[in-house]
Amino acid sequence: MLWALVAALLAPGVARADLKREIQLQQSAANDLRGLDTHKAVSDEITLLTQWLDDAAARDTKGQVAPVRELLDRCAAQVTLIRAKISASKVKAEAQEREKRAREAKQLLAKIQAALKDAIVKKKALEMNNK
Amino acid sequence: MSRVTLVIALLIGCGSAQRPKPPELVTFETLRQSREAEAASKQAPDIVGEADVLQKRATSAWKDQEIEVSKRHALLGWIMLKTAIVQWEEAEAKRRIKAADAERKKHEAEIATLGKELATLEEQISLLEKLASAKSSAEVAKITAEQEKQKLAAELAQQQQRGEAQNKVIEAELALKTADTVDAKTHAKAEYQGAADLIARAQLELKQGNVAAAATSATMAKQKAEQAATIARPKYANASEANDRKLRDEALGKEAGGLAGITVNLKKQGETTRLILTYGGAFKAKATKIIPAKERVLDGVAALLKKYPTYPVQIIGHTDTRGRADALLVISQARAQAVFDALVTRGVDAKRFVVSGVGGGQPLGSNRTAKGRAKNNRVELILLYQ
Repeated sequence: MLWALVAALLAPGVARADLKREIQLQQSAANDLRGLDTHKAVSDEITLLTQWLDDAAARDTKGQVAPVRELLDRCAAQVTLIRAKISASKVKAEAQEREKRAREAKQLLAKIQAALKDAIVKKKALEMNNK
Repeated sequence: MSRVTLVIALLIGCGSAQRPKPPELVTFETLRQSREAEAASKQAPDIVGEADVLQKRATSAWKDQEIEVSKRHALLGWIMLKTAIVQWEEAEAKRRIKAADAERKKHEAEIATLGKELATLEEQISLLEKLASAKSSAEVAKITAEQEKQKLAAELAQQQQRGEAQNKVIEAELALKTADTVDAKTHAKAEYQGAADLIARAQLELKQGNVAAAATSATMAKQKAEQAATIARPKYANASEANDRKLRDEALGKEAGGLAGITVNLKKQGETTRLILTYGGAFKAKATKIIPAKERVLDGVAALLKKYPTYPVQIIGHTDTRGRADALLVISQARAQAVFDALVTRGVDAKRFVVSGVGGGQPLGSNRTAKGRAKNNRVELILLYQ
């Protein structure tokens, strides 16, 4: 009973400390993401994330727990989106590179086919001449 | 009362009017209706399901006039839906990678196959080209050989023509030499000179390589030379014979001059030349018999006459003038006959002689002196130069 009372009294302070720590963690994650964004594909999203985290920090200072919680949930989703975009960006770039190689192979194949066609004609002509 | 009720109703109506959707919700709804969102719902149904829940909440909040709540739900839902779409895009990119790799591998396999086929064909083409080149070289060599053969044949023909022309020149020169043997240079001067000029011309043409012209000139030269020889031959024969005769006459005169007991005298009378051998001192006065000591003189005369058998000989007997003329004539004839007999006895052909006596009509010396009369008693053998 006593512990429950103590916990009830301490709960708001604990929750705020957690939120602060989470804000800091996400700010740190935002910095990491900026470093990962080598192609500058998600710079706008990161800027928005930073703004939201700043807003969360400001609201946390004012003791607005629920909005901060809601902002942090949104930021977590934004981080997931950013990671997904960075990953997708790399895969897309790789896809473009592979497709480029495939096109090059196709072009080379077309050249060889043309060369083969020319060679067949040339061979026939030579065979005719040598008869 | 009714007016108050109406105002209240209007106020209530105004107060309960639906506010416009927040832009976050509009954007979310638009994204949810996109083709990518539909595709993402299959790729990540859990996330899209959560987003759909949030869309409902946002819509519900908007309908309840809780605009801020609606915005927050819409924004979070949009982020989740966008995340699902991005994951779908990544999956699509991976699928593209697989497809591209598969396509590339397929192309590369085909490239390898066709590359080998091309390499084989190129080798065959190379061989065929070498064959064509060799064939062409052989044809060129054949043509060259044929040209060389033709060239050699032409050279040979030219040499043959040249040889023939040279032979013709030699024949012409021989014909000219033949003409020389009949002294055509003198007796057929124009023809001879013409032949000589044509030979010189032929030699020049031969030197200049004008073989055909040289052959023609040589042929003409030969004809000219032969013509010159034909013209000159009878003239030359005549001239030669005359010369022979002259030489013979000279030899005869010379040899006659060497005879002992014979006086030689050459006498020209018009076209006729006579060699007179005077046989004097062989008869005593009035005698017709040769003094034996003088018989030997006739040996030399007979030998001379036999050496020169073509000359006719006139034997004329002479006397001095002492005595009757008819008697002297008989004596002179007898003396001529005696010499004739003596010469015939020594083997001289009798047909060559004409024997006569002229008495004392043709004295050589004075009949008044013994020396003169001795000169006049003589026999003359007259040889006519031909």
